[in-house]
Amino acid sequence: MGDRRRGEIIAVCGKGGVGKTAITAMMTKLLVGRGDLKILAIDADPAVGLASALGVEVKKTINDIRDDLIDTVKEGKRGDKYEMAAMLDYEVFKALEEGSNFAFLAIGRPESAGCYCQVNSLLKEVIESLSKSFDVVLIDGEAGIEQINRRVMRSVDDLLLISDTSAKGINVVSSIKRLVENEKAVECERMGLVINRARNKEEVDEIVANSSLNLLEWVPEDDMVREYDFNGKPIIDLSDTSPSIIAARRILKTLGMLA
Amino acid sequence: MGLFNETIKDLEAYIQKKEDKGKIRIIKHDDYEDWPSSNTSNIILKEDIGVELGNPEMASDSFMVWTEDLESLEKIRSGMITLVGPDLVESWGKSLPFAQILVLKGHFEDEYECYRRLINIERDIDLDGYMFRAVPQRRRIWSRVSKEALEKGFSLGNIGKTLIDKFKKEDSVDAVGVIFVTSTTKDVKELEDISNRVQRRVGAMNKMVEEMSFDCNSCEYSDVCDEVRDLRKIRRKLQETEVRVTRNG
Repeated sequence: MGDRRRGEIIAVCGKGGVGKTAITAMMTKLLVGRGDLKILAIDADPAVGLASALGVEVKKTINDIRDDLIDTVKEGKRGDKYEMAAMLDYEVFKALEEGSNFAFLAIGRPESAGCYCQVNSLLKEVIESLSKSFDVVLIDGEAGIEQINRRVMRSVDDLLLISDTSAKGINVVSSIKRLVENEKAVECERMGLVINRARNKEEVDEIVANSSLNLLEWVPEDDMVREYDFNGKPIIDLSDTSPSIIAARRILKTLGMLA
Repeated sequence: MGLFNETIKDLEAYIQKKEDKGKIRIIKHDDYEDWPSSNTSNIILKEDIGVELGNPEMASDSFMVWTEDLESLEKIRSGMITLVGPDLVESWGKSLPFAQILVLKGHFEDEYECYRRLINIERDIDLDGYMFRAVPQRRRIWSRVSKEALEKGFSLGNIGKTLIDKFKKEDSVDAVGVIFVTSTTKDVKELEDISNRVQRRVGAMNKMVEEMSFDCNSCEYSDVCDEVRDLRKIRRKLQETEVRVTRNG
């Protein structure tokens, strides 16, 4: 990571089905492979696909913890803010699935009805505080970028806008970019487009020429990823020579995370 | 104030029982050097664990009691760390049950204010290679010690020393004793009754002060107040304050 500070936060977002989870899993694999970093992978997509891509089993999500706490509050056993924060900190750590040099945390489905602002805000504080203990945090988000802000993190360092080559995919990331720039849906230092499943560089150039998006990298179509998806094999086990892993390595080099 | 004098006596009886069975070791806190704090990330993931204490699947207990009665604390051994069970270096690669008990002697005019301040000191421990999560209201503490810290000789003595030094910096605290239990689930569970009583007393005190609730007929802590004279004193003091405030408009 050279001269970059510790605690780099990378969020990945885009339309459903464009390959956000696969790219997050590939980046996790490569960063874990460095051997000198502690990585926290956060699955903020309610579908919780990152868990299977990383080969981990989710036993408890942040939403489960939130629901448990709300039940406690309803029973009148709330305690003060510090006690609640201590309990959440304990429960969130307990919910981590730990692998070799990485930990995984699933946010779960969006919360049920009811306003529990203090619980939500405390949970976010706990996740932010936990994130500071890791060298890199990777967040697999969903299309609604404001969900990252509301449920996971107020600000990130790098926001990767993932799209396939479809017009719909590009429209969604263009909307996300506008939301970030105009409405500060999430604060970020750097934002860039990653085009996934492109046939070739010409296709990528054409898409970029017709949009206001700043291209960070592109990932080629990869039969190995298709095969892993088809057979339900964890993406983290993909070979280092897979074209998409090579592309993911380029993304991380561009971000200054790999030499 | 003697909110916990009776529970401290029970704690002494517990220690005596373990001592009779040859299960305890006494460590002087000043036999230990200061352990460095963590300058960077202090996360300890599973594969880096040298010893784990009080994992959520294991028995765990943690509480703090205080007294103004010097005699009580002398029996707990002020400035000493009482260890029931193995120290960390003897437990490489193991996950142990764990209890951490703090006994303080000092002058605590406002017990509630003291409690708030003291509980934060207990949480504010930062030692390189030592990570803990604690839930005071559930009396649980879950700690991990890294392999690297164990290799450098990290001991429960280092945790005890840090706690003692930190508490002794408080004006209201004169003496501190620390008890660690790492021996067996049974030894940790034996503390449950004492620990429950401590929590009920702290809960009653918190409720009185935070909710200004004095309706004993509807209060879940009325049995505790009936039992503990010092809680009734706190209640009377709060009621008098409330009456004064009401009268003065």
